[in-house]
This record gives sequence, structure tokens and C-alpha cells, in this order.
Amino acid sequence: MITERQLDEAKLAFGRLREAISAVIVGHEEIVSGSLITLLCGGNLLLEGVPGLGKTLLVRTLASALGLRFSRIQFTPDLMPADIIGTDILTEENGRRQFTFEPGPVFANVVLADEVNRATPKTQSALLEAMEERTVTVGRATHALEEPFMVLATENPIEMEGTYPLPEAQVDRFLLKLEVRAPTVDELVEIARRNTEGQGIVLPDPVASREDILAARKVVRDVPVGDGLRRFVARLVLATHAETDSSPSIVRDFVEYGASPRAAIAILQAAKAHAFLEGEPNVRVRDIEAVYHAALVHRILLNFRGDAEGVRVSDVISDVWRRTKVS
Amino acid sequence: MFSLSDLLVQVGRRRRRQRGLQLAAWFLLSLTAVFWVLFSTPFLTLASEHLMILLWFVPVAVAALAYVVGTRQRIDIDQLLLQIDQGLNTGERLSSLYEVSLRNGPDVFRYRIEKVLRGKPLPWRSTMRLRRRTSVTLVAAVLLWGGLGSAVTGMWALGSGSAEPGGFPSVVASEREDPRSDEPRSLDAGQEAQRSVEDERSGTEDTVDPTRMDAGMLAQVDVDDGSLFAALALLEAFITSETAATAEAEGWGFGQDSSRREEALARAQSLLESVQDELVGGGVIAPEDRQEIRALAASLASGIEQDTLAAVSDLPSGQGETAGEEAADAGSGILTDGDAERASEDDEEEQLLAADSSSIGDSASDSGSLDETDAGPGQRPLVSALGAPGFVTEKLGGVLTDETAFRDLLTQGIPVEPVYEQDGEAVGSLQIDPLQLQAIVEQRSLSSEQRDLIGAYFRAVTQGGT
Repeated sequence: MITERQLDEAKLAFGRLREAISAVIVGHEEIVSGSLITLLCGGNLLLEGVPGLGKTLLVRTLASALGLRFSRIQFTPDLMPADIIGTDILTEENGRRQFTFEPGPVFANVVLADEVNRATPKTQSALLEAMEERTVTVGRATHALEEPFMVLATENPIEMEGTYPLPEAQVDRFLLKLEVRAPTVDELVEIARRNTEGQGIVLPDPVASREDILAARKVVRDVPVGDGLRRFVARLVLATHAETDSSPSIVRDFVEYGASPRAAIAILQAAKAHAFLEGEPNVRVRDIEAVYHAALVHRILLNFRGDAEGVRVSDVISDVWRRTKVS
Repeated sequence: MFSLSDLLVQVGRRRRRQRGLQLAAWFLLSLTAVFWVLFSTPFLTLASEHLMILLWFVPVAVAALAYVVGTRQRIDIDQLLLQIDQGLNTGERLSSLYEVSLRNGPDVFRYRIEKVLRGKPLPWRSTMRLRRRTSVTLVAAVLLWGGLGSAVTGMWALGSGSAEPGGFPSVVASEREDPRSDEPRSLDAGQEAQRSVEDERSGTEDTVDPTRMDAGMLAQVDVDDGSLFAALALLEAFITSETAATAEAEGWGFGQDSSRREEALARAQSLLESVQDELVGGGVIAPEDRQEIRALAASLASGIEQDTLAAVSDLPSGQGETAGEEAADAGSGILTDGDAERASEDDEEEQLLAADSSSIGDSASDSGSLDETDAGPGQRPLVSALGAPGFVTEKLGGVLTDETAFRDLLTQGIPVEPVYEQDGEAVGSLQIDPLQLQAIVEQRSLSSEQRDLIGAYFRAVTQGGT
């Protein structure tokens, strides 16, 4: 049972966290909000954007403000799974040789998988278990990852040659996918000012602890959502399936695979976190709308005709939203 | 003070009522419509009045049952609360509060939500109005059912005065019958049509005349006595034309003698009232009334005859005289049965009896023609005036002389029907069916001048269309 005090403390902690991130990151409110939502839900975040937009800085700032362990993995075509999850190495202790597990960079609280689509599928898949199960298996030993754990992966939409699109199973494990857009003129001026004056960018001191995060997660799970809204979310997700009667024509014509049930869970979880961050005592349609796009955009696969005709998944999602009634 | 439990009770009750109404309205409308259809078919006309009344209550009984069933249906309170949330723009607080209320023990979110809800009014009833479709269905069902009730009670009232044992007089059936039917009651339709034409001409609306008998009454009379029916119809036409104060009012043989006209009018009204009372009361018209009706009708008919003869004497020679002669024949055919023998002896009349207004379409394909050169000397080429689209000129069976018989002036397409005697058998005389004639003339979209000419022609040869 959540108490008044737990609720207020969780709100205060995330208020401080948001302030600390905003002091470093200019603009990108949607990305910051998405990162916090992902953190509150215990999920993983996929960021898509060209280099230099501050993706790495955001992740580092988040880790710094939380006082959590941060690691960065630059994905390249020759990256091996062991480079991520670690490996057993032969060590000698008291004259006795033995294999000892050397954890890889995935053993951190916040992991930045930079340009994740540049590694081979085999290496990408090395993250699967860590992202979903929060464990890493090497040989016959399974190692648990420390909570809170979050993978923030980035994708570069340009320079697609030599890249490996993420496997569907792995994409589905990202709670949200957000597109990092270029800053506006004012934001760019502010970014330039902060980087060129004084002591430049200074990462924030920790403003929330691991316990704060875990307590806030517990609060978020209790945020009430009406059964009618749950049904609404279910209808939304099912409407992305071409074989469903309620699906709009754009889905029937251009969608190969609709969103999985994990999408419905993601929408509801993210909506709860959004309501919590907004200071609301319950989930509203507005909360669902705020996270709906980011929760579905990477979970819908267009068919050949859709690709050939240049249909965007965003258009499909928007159409589904417009045509699905709340009550 | 906001209370979720109170709200749930009220919302649930309202929704159940709406469900009940929805279901009841649908059943009432459907069943009433079915009964309307049944009432307009011959099936139910054989039913007794008690069964009819009972049947009338069936839709209401079923609707009441449906209402009860509707109110007992399970309601989706989550969806309902979400609907109210949407309507009131509460931020989905009510549905969330209901969700929280299902949890055990105190809850911080419940407290927070209730705190928000307490601060604002919740006119939730405005979001739970009866659907427009249901309202319309309900109103339509009630109106239809009420109309059905009027029809049933009207039939019941007639049925109680009917001489027919164990059943209603077939008002609906008689109304549905083809006006071209050989039944005497077609006269009623003819008179109604004539009356409406007169009203239309005079620019007056169809006023409610207490002495005017409805179709059911006339239909009832004709079962007993065909000529009495015709007499009553004539009286009614006379009253209508008199009360409408039209030009036709002068065509009843009274000339400028207004005192005689008023006297006749009062007598006719009194007689019709008396007949109406008798029909409602016991269903039998007193013998003295029958006599008086016949006498007055005969008097009016002879007046018409005189007026018509006077009018046609102004027409060109030959036509007027012939027309007047035939008009007198036709008029007497109705009321006095005169000249019936002569007409019944003629074989050609049998063909004319079979002639139908629908044959006008057939006549269009006929190649017969009547040029002006075909007309005899001194004869006015009446047919040539009908050079409107759709009319095909046709050679007459005879020539217009003083000796021309009425039947010779009839061609295919002229809507005639036989005149009936008391025993319901055709006596051989023919009369024009004004209803069909009117329909034909209107169908041709003729000018008013052409219509008047046709009207004058038929009045001349048939004594005012009777």
C-alpha cells in the first residue's frame, strides 16, 4: 500500500531529477520525459537521431544525476558478444589456476548502446537477455544485473550501409522509441553558450538515489487506470493488426505485423509513469496519447506494399488513434 | 458531498432505465408496425372486436416486458463511468476512482482523486441522455400505437353498430378496394373525389361538416341499399357544394330561389345527421328517413337535370341537345332507374362495361383518328380540342345528332362504370367515374382551359358526372 509520504517523496525525487537534467540538456523535453518514464517503468529506451544531437550527453547526465553506474558501448561491426556481457578469464590465485568471470560493460545501471545497429545481430542479441531478464548467462553461470538497470540504445538513421537492423524480438524489448530532433534556433544558441562559456558542461551531482528510483517505480505501478481505459488500449493495439475487424484500411493495406501484447503493457506502464510525472493521481486519456506513439512506432512492421508506397508507420499509428473511440 | 457509491447507484439505475426504454421502444415500434400491416390486410377484419382490442394491447404488453428485461440486463459500469468522464472532461477520474475503490483498504490515490472530484460539480446526467435514435423510436412507437388504437376503436365503434354478425364492417378493406371496382361503394370514392375537386376549384379547404358522413358510414349503407347510398351521396355532395358556396352551388336547380335552397340544405343536413345517429345507434335507417332521402335526392337530381339541359341548350346545335338528353338518361339511371332497359339491350354496352381507365394506355396505341373533316356538318369537333400529349384521337361510334345515344359518345379510355339497382345488379346504364376521369385529366397535365372543356363535355353528356 502506497502512503502519502511515499508518493510525495517519489514526486519530489523525480522533480529534482528533471531539474538537474534540464540544467544540462537544452530542449529535448520529450526525450527527457521519455527517459524518465523508461526509468520509472524499468524499461529500455531506443533513441534515433543523427550524431551530435546530445544523446550521449543525455544518458550521461541521467546517470550522473542518479548517482548510478554508467557504461557506454560503442557498437561496431567487429564487436563481439563477450565484449558486452563479459567473459571467463583464466586467473591464478595462491598458485591455483581457475576461470573467473570478468563482467562486461553491460554490468552497470545505465548502459548506453551507441549506434546499436552497427553491430552484428549476434552481438545485438547479446543484449536481449540483459534487457528483458535482467540477467546475463555466460557458460553455465547466470549473473543477475543490478537494479535499476536501463539500456539506452541509439540508432543513426543515416549511413545505413554496413548496418544491421535490429531483430524484431530485440526491438520489441524497448519500451519506447523516440526520435531525437534537431534543436531550434534558441535552443542551439543556448547549447552553444553553455558549451563555450565558463567551465562548459558540468554533469550534475546525484539528486536521487537508487532507493528513490525503486520506491518511485513501486508508486507508479499503483497509479490507477480505469478498466475502460485498459480496454481502450487493448483496442488500440489490436487495431494495428490487419486481420482485426476494427482495423482501419491503412492497416489492412500496409501492415504486415501489428503490435504485440507487449505494446499494450508498454502503453499502460508508460501512461502511468507519465501521469505520475504530471502529478496526476490517475491515468488519463491524455497520458495514453502522450506515450502511445513512442510505444508503438517500433512495434509495427509494414508490408512490401507499404514500403514501396512510402507509407510511414507514424501515419498508420495516427490513423489508428483517430479511428479508435475511447468509450 | 461527493460519494462514489451514491453515484454508482444512480448511474446504474439510470442506465438500466435507458436500456429498458430502448428495448421497449424497439419492441413497441416493431410490433405496432407489424399490427398496422396486419390491420390493413383482410386477415384481422374477420376477428372479433374483443380480439382486436386484445391485439392492440399486445405491443404494449410486450414492450412492458421488454422494459423489465432491459432494466435487468447487466451494465458495464467501467465503460459507463468512462463515458461520463469523457462527457464531463474529468480526466478519467470517475473510472479510475471506481478502479481504486475495488482495492482493499485505504488508498492514497483514492483520497487524491476524491479530493479533485469534490472541487468541481458533476452534472453526470447530462452525459447520460437517452440516445436520439431511442427517443425518436419511442415517440414514433407511441404515436404509431396511438394511431393504431384510434383505428381499432374506430373499427370497434362501427363494429358495434354493424348489422354484420360477429365481425367488423370492412372499413379498411372498403378503403383499399379499387375505385374501379364494380361494387356500389365505388360511388363513395367518386363522390369524395368530386367533392375534393370542387373544394379545390373553389379554393376552400375541406371543412369539417358535422353532417358529413364518413366513408365507413356510406360503405355501411351500400351493403343494404345501393340506391339509398347514391341518394345519400348526392345529398352530401349538395351540402358540400352549398356550404362551400362555390359556383357549383348554383347547379342544383334552385336558380335564384335562395329560400328553397336553404330549405333543401337544412333538410339534407337534418337527414344526414339523423342517418348518422341511426347508424351509430342501431345500424338501421328508419323507413321514413329512407323515403325522405330518396325524395330529396330525386328532387335535387331533377334540378340538376333542368340546369344541365338549360346549360347545354347554349352549346352548338346537336351536341347540347344530345348531351342533355343523355345526361337526363344517366341521371335518372342512378336515382330512378329509368332507361335501364334500353341500355341493357345493347350488346356494345357489354364491351363498355369491361372498359377500364387503364385502357387509356391501350388506346394510345390505337391508330384511330378523328380529323375535323370527319366531323359531320354542324358538329363541333370536340375531340380535336384534346390535342394534348398522350391523347389519341379516335373515331366515335356514332355522329352527334339529336338521336345520338350516350354509349355512342364513349370511346376507349373514358372511365365508365355501370349503374346499380337495389339488388346490386347492374341495370345496364352507364355513368362516368369522376375519380378516374379526374385522375386521367390530371395525368395529362392539361391546361385549365382544356380541363374546363372536358368538364363541360362530360357534364353535358352525363349530367354532372353522376
